[in-house]
Amino acid sequence: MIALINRYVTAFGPSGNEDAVRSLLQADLKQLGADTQIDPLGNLSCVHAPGKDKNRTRVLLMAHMDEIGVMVSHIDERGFCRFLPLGGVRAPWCVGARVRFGNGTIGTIGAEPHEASTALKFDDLYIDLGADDRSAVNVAVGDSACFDRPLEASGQRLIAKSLDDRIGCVVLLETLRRLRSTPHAVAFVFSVQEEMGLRGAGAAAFGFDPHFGIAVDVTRTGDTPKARPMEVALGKGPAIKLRDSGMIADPALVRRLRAAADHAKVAYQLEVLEHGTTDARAIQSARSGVPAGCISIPCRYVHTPSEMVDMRDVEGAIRLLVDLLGRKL
Amino acid sequence: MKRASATKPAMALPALIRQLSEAVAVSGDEHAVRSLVLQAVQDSADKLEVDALGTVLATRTGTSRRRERVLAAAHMDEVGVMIVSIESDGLLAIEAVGGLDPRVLLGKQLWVGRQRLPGVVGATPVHLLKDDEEKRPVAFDALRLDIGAGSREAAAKLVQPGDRATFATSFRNLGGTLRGKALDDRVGVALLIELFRSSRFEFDFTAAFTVQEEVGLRGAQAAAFAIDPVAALVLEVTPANDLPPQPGETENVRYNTRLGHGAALSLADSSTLYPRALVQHFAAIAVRDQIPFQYRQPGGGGNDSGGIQRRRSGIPVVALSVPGRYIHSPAALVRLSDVRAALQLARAALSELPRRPARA
Amino acid sequence: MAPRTNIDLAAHLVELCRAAGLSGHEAPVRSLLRKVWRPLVDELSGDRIGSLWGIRRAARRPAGRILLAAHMDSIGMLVTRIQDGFLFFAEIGGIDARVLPGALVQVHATRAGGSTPLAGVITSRPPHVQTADEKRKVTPVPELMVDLGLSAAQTASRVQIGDLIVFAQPPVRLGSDLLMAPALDNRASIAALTGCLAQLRGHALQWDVIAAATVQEEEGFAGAYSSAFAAHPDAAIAIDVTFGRQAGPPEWKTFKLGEGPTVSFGPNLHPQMGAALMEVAASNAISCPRDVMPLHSGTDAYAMQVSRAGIPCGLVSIPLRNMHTPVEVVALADVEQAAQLLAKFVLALDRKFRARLKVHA
Repeated sequence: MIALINRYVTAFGPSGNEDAVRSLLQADLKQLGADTQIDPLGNLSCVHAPGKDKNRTRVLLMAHMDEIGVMVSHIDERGFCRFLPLGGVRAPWCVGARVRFGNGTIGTIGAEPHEASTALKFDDLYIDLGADDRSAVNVAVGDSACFDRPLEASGQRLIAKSLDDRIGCVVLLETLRRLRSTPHAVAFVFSVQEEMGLRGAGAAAFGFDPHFGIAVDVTRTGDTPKARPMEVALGKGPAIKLRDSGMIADPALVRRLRAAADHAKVAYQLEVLEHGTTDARAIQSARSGVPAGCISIPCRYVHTPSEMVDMRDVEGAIRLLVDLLGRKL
Repeated sequence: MKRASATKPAMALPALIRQLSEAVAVSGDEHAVRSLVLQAVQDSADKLEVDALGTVLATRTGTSRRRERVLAAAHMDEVGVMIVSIESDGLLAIEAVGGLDPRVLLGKQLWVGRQRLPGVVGATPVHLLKDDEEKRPVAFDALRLDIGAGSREAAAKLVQPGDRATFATSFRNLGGTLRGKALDDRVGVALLIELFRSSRFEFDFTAAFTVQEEVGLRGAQAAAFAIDPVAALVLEVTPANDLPPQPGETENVRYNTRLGHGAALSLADSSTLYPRALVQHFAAIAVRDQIPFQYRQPGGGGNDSGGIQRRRSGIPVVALSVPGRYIHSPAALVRLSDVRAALQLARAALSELPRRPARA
Repeated sequence: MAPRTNIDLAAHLVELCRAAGLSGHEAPVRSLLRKVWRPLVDELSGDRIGSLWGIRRAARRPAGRILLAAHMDSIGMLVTRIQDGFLFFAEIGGIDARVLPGALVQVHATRAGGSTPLAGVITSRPPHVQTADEKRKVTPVPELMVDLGLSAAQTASRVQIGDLIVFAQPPVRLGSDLLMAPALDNRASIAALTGCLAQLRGHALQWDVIAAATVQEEEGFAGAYSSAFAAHPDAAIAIDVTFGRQAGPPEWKTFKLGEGPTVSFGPNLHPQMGAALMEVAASNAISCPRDVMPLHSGTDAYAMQVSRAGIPCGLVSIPLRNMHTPVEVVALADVEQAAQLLAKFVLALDRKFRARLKVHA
């Protein structure tokens, strides 16, 4: 599975530029015999098992394809690129980071001199592509780049860019692979533009009109030195979300998720996330309302080029979902 | 099918913009502009309705048997203020409606209420400012609107809380450059009227003259749900910040758009990442037909696209804007050549809109 | 059976305030309402995420449909972490951290199965042990804890992460006219809805009425979005609380308790809904101050207005002091008057009203 994850996390997919990730998924889903569809916003989905029985419970699983990144807003005469953050990028973390554009162009982020006492702002930063001047620059205003780092494995831990939320995409793929039969109609949806404010999820949920919606995404942890306290740690199992700053998980769905974890003998954690939210928020408000919840993969250093997850948590999430979907809800 | 009436010749574009600019329609009270719009489109519309929020939906049936729908939107409302309280001395406390910087209100004349009473937002005489007050921006709750009423009772005969007011600016054509209030988005409204009256497309074409863009893209959300189009075009006025570099800067890197450089296509703003394929379609047509165009710098700000794109199962949307200096102030400037370029590009690009716009 | 048109609204409101019902966890207040509303309506129903609908059908078809929406969820807290027997918590819905130190609370403990109420108090530091720095600041929520007075082991065996915490302040009558209780935002409006349904008993209606107790208003209007979409009404009225006159806020943003429910005007509301509510108030001698809202109303009306192809909305609000604290205060007369206004409004709805909503002035 590490090889699979490697393909996904190294793919280029800043918000609005999910094509490469979508192509990978289309190929993998096709191998699993799934019939995929792309909606007008670019969300990719397939339904398992397709059928005409209207009485089945419709369950939506969603992971987002996009990752945080940057977009060029201006190229100056000397070829330096000013840029905007795409999603929750933090300016101070950008200095020295390498970025990769869709055409393979690599740049590094430099900072103007600034007072050490003030926080760096995006206005202080630029991308240096190593170009002599504007005419040598082979990217354009409006082009996006992702942060560029290879995946490293260290025991059960993986360090990579864009584990948020490619790890969710992989969990969905593996769940579909292992799910032999289900009494439900389960839509596996790979959404766009989550990092820009959950822009794809609502439209996808509108189309499928599910009875239940579950997002699979990463969450932060409280297990690093001086971390903001939070009862989620790496390696203690997937987290079942109770609440985040955008959504309160449906209590009945939470009970079902916990029961499935117990039944599958998967260790799990309960999550209350105080800053941040996921596609589940947008799913919840679609049409006449959707009871929604979220399975989270604990992840350190979220929104940096070196996010870290534990494979045991990933494995646990897959087993939990396979158990949940394999039986009547 | 009705034909455009020959008895009522279309007004020249600057005259139409003048009429729209001088109408008062602060978000939530778009009546004055709506009347002008209804009048302007009624003879060319095959279907005309006003929805539950006050948006005008005018439709021209397509020439093809395929019943696809395309939506184009321009917003009727403008930023302004609302009277929230009449004080004992007859002065009026006000709050912003939409993104209005209180600093541009100081010392300006306003049109107040539907009857367009003259009013003025005063400022403390500079002589009486304390400490560094002169250097600090004024806060909204320190502003008072004066309509010359000497008491609460006198004021209450003229206005009531909830009435709106906006800048009292007469429109001027400066010779190729237009100056007026509310050009954001009356220029878009004028463009949409022209586009609607002069074009019949293969698809059913609905012009949505939306309400409440400035207070959260409200009208566009409802209109997009109702029409359920395969694609949408938003016609806007977007800031041109094409001023000389500030002292200490070598280059203005935050120009957003530039006056006179043609219609602006959006790539990304704070509410929308525009689908690249559809933007490229517009750009390619502009290049082919030699229509001046520019890309709006990716950055902040937003428009009705943000309200449209997420409705139902998602709607691909393009924003085409006329650059405007000093929007959300008493007087914005736009270049007529940019207005004409936007009209030409909108018409040409829509005429050749790809069958599946999202995948073009 | 004789129509039961009189309900003791004060008693009903006290009962509503005693029921738990934090955002996303509205089950207790929902069950209470089911019981009270069942005899008042033709049918009970709801949306998919827990909003409760009491439906009254019009006497004849076709008929218009109006949605009367009041949110039933309330603010509160939930356990995020347990350390040495103390409970750290996060807020649900937006609490003023200043009022928390020393507040009496009840924790709904679920680790042992079921839900056991445990009494507790939120920690505070006596002035004697505060540093100079601590004296100057408001203790932020992450530094506060709930103390159950139990040992670490006892706490750990009963409480788990996610357990809900509510204010334990019991409802109290202040003088003869006012009621003080936590969760009056927005149970006061729920009581007004109940009063409205009670007054409509026995009357033939020209419009269908859906009285909706919505969920999760305090967390982003989820129940209003879903109920408005599912009900697809011709018009909607949100019933919520507004700011009562008290020291601090500007006078124009506040309303005197006991001088009637307010009717709102502004871009979030349809001008004809406001005008019609004011007319009904005038012809029934109900005092209703105008409330002007330049932007967002901050109520379910914000979500309902842009549901589907757009829904004309009105807003009726009950003035309330000390919003989002455990000691919210309303005038019972305002609740009664709001119920009266809603009922008279519904009874005045006729075939012509839909046409009136096409006038945007």
